Amino acid sequence: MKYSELINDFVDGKLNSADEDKLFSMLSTDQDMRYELRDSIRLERAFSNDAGSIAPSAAATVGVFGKLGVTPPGTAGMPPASGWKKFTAGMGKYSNAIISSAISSVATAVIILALLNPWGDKGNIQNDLQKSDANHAAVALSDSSDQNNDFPTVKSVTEEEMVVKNEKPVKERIVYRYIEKNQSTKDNNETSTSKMNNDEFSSNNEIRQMPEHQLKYAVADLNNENKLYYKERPVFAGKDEYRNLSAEADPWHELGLTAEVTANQYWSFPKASVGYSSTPLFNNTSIALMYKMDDDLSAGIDLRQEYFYQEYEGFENGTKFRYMQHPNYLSCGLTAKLRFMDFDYINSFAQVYVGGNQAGPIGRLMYGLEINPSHNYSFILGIEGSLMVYHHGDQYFYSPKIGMHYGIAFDF
Amino acid sequence: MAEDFRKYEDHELVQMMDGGKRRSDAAFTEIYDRYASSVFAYCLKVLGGKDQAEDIFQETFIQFYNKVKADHKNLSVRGFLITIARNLCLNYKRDKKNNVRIEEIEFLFKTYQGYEEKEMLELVRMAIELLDEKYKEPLILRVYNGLSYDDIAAICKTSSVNARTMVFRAKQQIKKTLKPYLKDIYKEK
Repeated sequence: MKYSELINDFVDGKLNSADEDKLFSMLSTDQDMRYELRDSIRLERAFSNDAGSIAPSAAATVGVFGKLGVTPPGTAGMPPASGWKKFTAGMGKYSNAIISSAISSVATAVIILALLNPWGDKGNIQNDLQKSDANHAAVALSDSSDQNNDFPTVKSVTEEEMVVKNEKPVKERIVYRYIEKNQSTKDNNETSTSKMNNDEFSSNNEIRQMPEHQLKYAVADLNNENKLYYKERPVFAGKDEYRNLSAEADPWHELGLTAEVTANQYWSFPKASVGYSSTPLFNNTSIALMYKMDDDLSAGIDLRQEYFYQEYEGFENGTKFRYMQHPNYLSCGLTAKLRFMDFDYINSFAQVYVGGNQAGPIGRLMYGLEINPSHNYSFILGIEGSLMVYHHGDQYFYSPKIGMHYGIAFDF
Repeated sequence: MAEDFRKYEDHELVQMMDGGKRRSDAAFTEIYDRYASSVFAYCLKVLGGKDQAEDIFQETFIQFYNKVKADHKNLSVRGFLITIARNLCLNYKRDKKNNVRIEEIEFLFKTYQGYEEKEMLELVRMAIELLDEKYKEPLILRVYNGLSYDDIAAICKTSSVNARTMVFRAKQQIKKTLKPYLKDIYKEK
């Protein structure tokens, strides 16, 4: 037997043990034979890969079943399954999406935590203050013992004094939110604030020689001497605060526009039993441009590429057919977002969408969180439910789906 | 509750196809699920073109559905399907000659540069196209349909030993054709 035949039988699994010994003995001394074995294995692997990649198209399957008038796969011959089994089977199918979403969420959380630095490197805070330029207004909070009441007063200090004071390590950081009354007293040099969100302070605190927009929000560092240092720009203030604070400094913020780019993962109902009809670039991706009507309400347009699984029935030449398709549509619509439960770095929102595509109208409800590590951008993570209505012949059908969306929004 | 048809043997499914429509449809669907890829692979490899392959593939299952009878107790469903597909492919090729020219394929070979696994796959596909018909079919039945040499012999109406020899020669021919390109693909000396 030639060595080619030995090799062929070996990769074919037909070689007996005696010939196998012979083959290995020959392989140990013959380099050409080793090359041939290697090529044979590569060839078998290529055959295997090729065979595994071949499958009839969905159109061919529909063609077979349609011509025979047989209920197509996915609706007949399905194994019985309990609710739990159906659930686990469904989860298994979407495991990639779930895992990738989970990874995205964890990565987002890690980035935010890193930015927020909740463990606090106080040296950084001090350096931050020391590096502050002349535009950063600074006020010192004098000891309460100096006053006739229990509340310290805030007064202006020189920048030189501020730097000296900051040589002391920062003991505590407090973020104050001032609710401004805009009441001018007879004394134009004095503007009063009615309340701070910290109970330690009351309306009789006085802030002197500060522009109005700087009075709304402040970040203060309280050092060991109980001196309060005021910074015009909060280090990690939410975007709303920053916008109010810096409206005069940055005119772009007055535009109140938000551009959102989000990706979507979804589950169709009923479960899709045919594959995607196409896979265009940016599928299941949306972009929205919204105008911020006030701090809580935004409205704008939303454009997205998305799949809708459609399963419907109809008659052709007197024969009833069940159609299944999973096309990609370009949907466009109007959307409005309402923010609520607003915290420093995070807020929740509810969003409604009304739009359509070439198949029919679409309604969508969304709920989620906006995480604001910076005043310029925020991360979005939420869930959504969509419903598309379409018709075939004189019948109307519905294509519902639920999913999650995640992305990033830029304010400008 | 829906019945699980995956538990049934081929011959049981064939018997069910002679029963009520609902069970018949479900049985046919199960057979389709089992063998669709295999039949399509055969059609695609024998005919070369996807459109023709899909036409023949559809016709194969339609003929199977119409021809199969419940009394085919010992029917090999895979063999029956491949036989139908084979006859349809032969008829198709007889009616419409395959016009793939060797010169064109050789040109395609030369245009490939910087090979990797994917390119290897493409080259193998084209090398199969270049095979002599008498070697090509047994090879397809062996590597794409997973048939035994006995089954290949039955379909090709030859002996088992001959079927094995033809598959071996087909592989040798492919290796010979690909030898210069394998060096390039894997950057060998």
